[in-house]
Amino acid sequence: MDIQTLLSFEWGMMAPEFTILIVGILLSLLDLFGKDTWKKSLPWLAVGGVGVAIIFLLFQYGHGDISILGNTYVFDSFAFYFKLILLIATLLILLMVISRTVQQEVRDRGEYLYLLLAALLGGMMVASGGDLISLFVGLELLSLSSYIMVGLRKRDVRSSEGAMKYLINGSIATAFTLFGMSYVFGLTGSTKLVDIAREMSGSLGSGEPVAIIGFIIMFVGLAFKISTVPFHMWTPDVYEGAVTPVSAFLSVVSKSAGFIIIVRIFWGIFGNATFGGSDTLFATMIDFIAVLAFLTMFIGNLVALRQRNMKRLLAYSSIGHAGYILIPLVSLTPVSLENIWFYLLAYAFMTIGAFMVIYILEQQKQSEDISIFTGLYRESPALAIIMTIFLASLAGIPGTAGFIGKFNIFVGAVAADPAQYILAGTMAVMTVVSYIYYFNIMVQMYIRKPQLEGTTKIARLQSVPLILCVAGTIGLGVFPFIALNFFH
Amino acid sequence: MIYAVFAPLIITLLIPLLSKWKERVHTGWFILPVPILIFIYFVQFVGENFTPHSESYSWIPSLNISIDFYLDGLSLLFVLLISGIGSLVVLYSIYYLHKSEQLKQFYIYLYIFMFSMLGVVLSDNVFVLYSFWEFTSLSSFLLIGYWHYRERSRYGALKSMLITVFGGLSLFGGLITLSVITETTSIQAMIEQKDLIVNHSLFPLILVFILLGAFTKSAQFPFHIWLPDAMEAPTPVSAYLHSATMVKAGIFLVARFSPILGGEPSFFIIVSLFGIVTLFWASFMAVRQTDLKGILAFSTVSQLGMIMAMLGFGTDVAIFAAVFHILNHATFKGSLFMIAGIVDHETGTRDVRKLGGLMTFMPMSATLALFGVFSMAGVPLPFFNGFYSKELFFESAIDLPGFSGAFVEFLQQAIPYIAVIGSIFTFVYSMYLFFSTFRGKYKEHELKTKPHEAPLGMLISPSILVLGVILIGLFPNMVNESFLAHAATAVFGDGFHAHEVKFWHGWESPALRMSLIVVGVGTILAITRKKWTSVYTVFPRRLSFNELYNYIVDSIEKGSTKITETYMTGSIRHYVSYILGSILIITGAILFITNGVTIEFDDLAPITIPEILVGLTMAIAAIASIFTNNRLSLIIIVGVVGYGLSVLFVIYRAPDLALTQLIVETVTVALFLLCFKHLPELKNLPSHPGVKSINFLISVGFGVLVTLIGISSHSSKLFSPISEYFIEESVPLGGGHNVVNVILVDMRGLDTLFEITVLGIAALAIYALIKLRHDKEAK
Repeated sequence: MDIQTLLSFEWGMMAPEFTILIVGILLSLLDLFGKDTWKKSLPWLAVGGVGVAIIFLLFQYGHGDISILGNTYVFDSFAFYFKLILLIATLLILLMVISRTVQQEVRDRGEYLYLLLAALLGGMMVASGGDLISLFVGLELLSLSSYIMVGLRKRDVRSSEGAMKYLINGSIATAFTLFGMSYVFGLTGSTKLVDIAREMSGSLGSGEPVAIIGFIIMFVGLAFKISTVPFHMWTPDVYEGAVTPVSAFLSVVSKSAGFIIIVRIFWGIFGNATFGGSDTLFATMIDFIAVLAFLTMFIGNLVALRQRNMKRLLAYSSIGHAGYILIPLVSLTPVSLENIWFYLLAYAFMTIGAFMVIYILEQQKQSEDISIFTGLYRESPALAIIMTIFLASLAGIPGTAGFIGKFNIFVGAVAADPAQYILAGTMAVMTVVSYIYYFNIMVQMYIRKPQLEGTTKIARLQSVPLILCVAGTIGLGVFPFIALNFFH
Repeated sequence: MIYAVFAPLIITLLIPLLSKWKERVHTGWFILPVPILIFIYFVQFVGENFTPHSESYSWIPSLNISIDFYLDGLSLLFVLLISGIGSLVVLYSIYYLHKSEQLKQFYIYLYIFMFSMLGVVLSDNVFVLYSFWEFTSLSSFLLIGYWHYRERSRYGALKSMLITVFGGLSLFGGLITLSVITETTSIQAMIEQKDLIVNHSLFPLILVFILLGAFTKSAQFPFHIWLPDAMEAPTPVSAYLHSATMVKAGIFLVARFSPILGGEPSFFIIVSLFGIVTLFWASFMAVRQTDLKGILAFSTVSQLGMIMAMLGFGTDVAIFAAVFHILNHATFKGSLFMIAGIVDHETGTRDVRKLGGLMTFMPMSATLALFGVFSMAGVPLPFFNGFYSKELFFESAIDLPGFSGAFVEFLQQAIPYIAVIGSIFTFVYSMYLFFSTFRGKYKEHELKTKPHEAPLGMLISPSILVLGVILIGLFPNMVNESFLAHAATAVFGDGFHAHEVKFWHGWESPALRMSLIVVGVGTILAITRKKWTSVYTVFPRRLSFNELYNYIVDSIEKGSTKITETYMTGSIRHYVSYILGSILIITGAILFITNGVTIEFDDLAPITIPEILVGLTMAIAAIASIFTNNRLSLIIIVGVVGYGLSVLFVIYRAPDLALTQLIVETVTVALFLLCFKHLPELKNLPSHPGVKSINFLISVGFGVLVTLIGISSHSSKLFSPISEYFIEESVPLGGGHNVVNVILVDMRGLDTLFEITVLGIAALAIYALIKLRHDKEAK
């Protein structure tokens, strides 16, 4: 590959990634060598960087598909829309980091920032990866940064425990993913998704078993990332151990990246592979994913009932939500991708919002127990109402983004061919179960006396991410067509 | 019309400002005009020449969802009830709730409710309807929990929410199925496709889903259990939501979908049966209540059952009676709730056992209550509107639609009797309610305060309602053709012809005889009520559906605890075994199902003795690692496995790989040794033999699985190995005969460079760490 070929690529399409990369490096340098007085403004640099990346990305709206470095990096509408979710979510999380009032971890601040950006970069590479290797590297960049972020509070036992569990589970997952990838490579002789898809589009013949092994093992490995039952065990421990913004990051960005890579790989390559005659290989494997989706919804929601630690509760609830998002993957309608995208977007707003409320209360009350919500309505009506909006959205009450998301998925499942009645039914029943724990928080907020007299105040900086998340949750709930039209 | 619907919502935004603006004035006064104006707006539509009216606003075009408002006779009836009773309730609450209460929130919730209820009855789009439907549940939840911090309030609020929202979800399922079948989201458009829906294979499912939604909302047996617990809400709320409007949303739904679902035997059986059972059961249960609001709650349930049953009958008389009773029930039950609130307000208790003889202290309230109660009991006098609709109910109960089938015939026989028995109990609790509160002996020592008549303002609302009772009673045809007939047409269809409502049908009328039986037997039972106490309490509380609800919620939570305790142990050891176990099961199962394993030993190379020896050594080392309690020896044993692998590489003529493996292995062992210095002694945790054997099974199974996969993948090779390309191209491209070297320094030269860089950075990092440590120790 000579210099001409290198220069002929449209490197400008990678502007969002380069922005994040440069800002990340800049942050680490400033954090190391900068004056102490500068360090206060470092988070704003990070926010600015992500903001600029979003703007760059938005300029690419409607741009045709291109690929760089022989399909290693691809830009298509899929990459565009999902990168947008990653960037918006990270922006909200950075705002969350900035808003902190308790300064005890001030020394780690810079590290959180550039680790967040590094992880984000990994996620973006996953969204744009057109090659098994670049996908894997992106995923690992995301994972490794996450491991460190979870363990950054090294004096905290829970933090270390969480990081250790995350690392071990994550390594197992990585091993499986790679193992699976090696099978796909062995079968097709290429790591480029386009080539793999082409190789697989014909009849696989005696290669079928290998393809199946590759499929299952790779899916198992990636299922860790989206914490699907039975590979979800790390989730609650890690969320509990990490500082709240990091938990929010894992819950939203990391999970979204997991879904992105799954869609990219499995629809991209197995969606074309024929199996045993007529069906595609992916269609044959649907039952397997359906079982995982069923278990995930079931276990996630059921276990969430008994959690008293709010972060653990949200961890289980996020497991349940992962189960919902698996449904469009199974139902395979033309709108499945749109449904996944919309749900992830809605999920980003409502989950980060809920974590933000917890973060505010956690800093004031030094606790993560559900009792921090006790009598919140008397302490701070605004915060209680905001939390109600997020809970309503998570529960799927009309008027919120969560409802539209669930609605789309539900309709998709019923309208699919063959209709996934069992999954749709499970989703409905588990939604009812989830009402119990979401409404229980509302009961705590509205129908209990506060334990201590006094008010909970929202600082000005704290209100920024809250307002953005509320706007997103309500906006997508009342005017979903804005986002849906944007997607088309 | 859209302004009328959204007006309550808009005003809620202003409530916080209004309540601060003039602190001395009760917030209620500022917002009272809103429902009155809505009422005035809609009342203009009333008239004999009324025709349905619709408005449409685009909302989510991609999902075919738009905000369509459709005002027909049925919606008009409900809209007027919502705004009319709403106005009266707000007026009443101004006197009922003191300024010191959290009025702001109360009115915000109340108006959100009003908004959503208007939305429910006016929406033509099923999904918009569902959205409003859920909002009513949500605001009901907030209003129930508004007043108290008691355990009971929490229980009641959560219960009402869970049951109604569960029903809502079921309704949602039904609506989705309907819209998938008919490919429209408009109810009016669905009505036109009735034949398609009724003959569709999913029709039973739709019927059950929609009815489940309606039954839970309208507190039909056995879902009625949430309504008595919802009585924790302030009385104006009970009067409004839990008697006049929200609980009638289910009725509305059934009425609205009657043109689609009605006329089918299954619809008749389910709706009539549930309605009539509810009527009977709730009126029977009402007699044993001692709380004024408790009696009223069960009474509401039973009246709702009656209306539901009439909708189930589906004949034109029944439909007319149903809409008539919706109106009547709202008037008399609304006034009774308000009187109950007054009694509570003035005496400090709602316990009937502590009350008595209040007639002398509160003559006005007592008179109002008298009208309400007698109307509810269906006493045959021309100024009680309740009598008319009840008589029409009896009339329709005798003349049921003629479906065939054994069960239908049984129902046709049984329904008139159940109707009469249920009405007798209604009569009994009505009398009990009135006489034990306002007549009888005044129990001075039971009450904390001396009762006196309520302030005049509080009496205005119930007076207006009672006036309605009397006026409708005296001139039933006043509301007939101009108003109720339109509502009935909307439910029944165009074939509906208005009948004249008459008080007197002559002695020959069977309905009148049934009414007289009710009054006669009812009077006897009411007088001798005390003797029958044991009959009323014959069903123990333990067998109630309340217990079932508690049991379900408890057992879900217990199940959750159990799952959490059994597998979420927090131990990474367990997690790993679960993970490996499930991978084993999943992969194994799929390979088995898809016949994924093909094993061929055709082109395997012969195995030589050195290979066997190395392999055995590695296996022995791996197994030995399990039995070691010492970290150092553990590392060395695991090292043996690694070194064995590099020996294998040597045997297979891959010296570069062998070298890499050797270096990696050495570095790893060294690093491990460094780290382990800082770790505590390895403890041999005792584990259960069962757990051990399961772990053993998992590990053996996993080993077998991986072996199978290995052999199987070898057996299905698609193309020539990649190495041939490098061997061929090594000389022309790299000019070297050592293929590995050419790959490393030429073909993949950049890769190698970067790898070296990475290693260099890692080395720097390690150096920094060690240096930091030294510096610390030096200090």
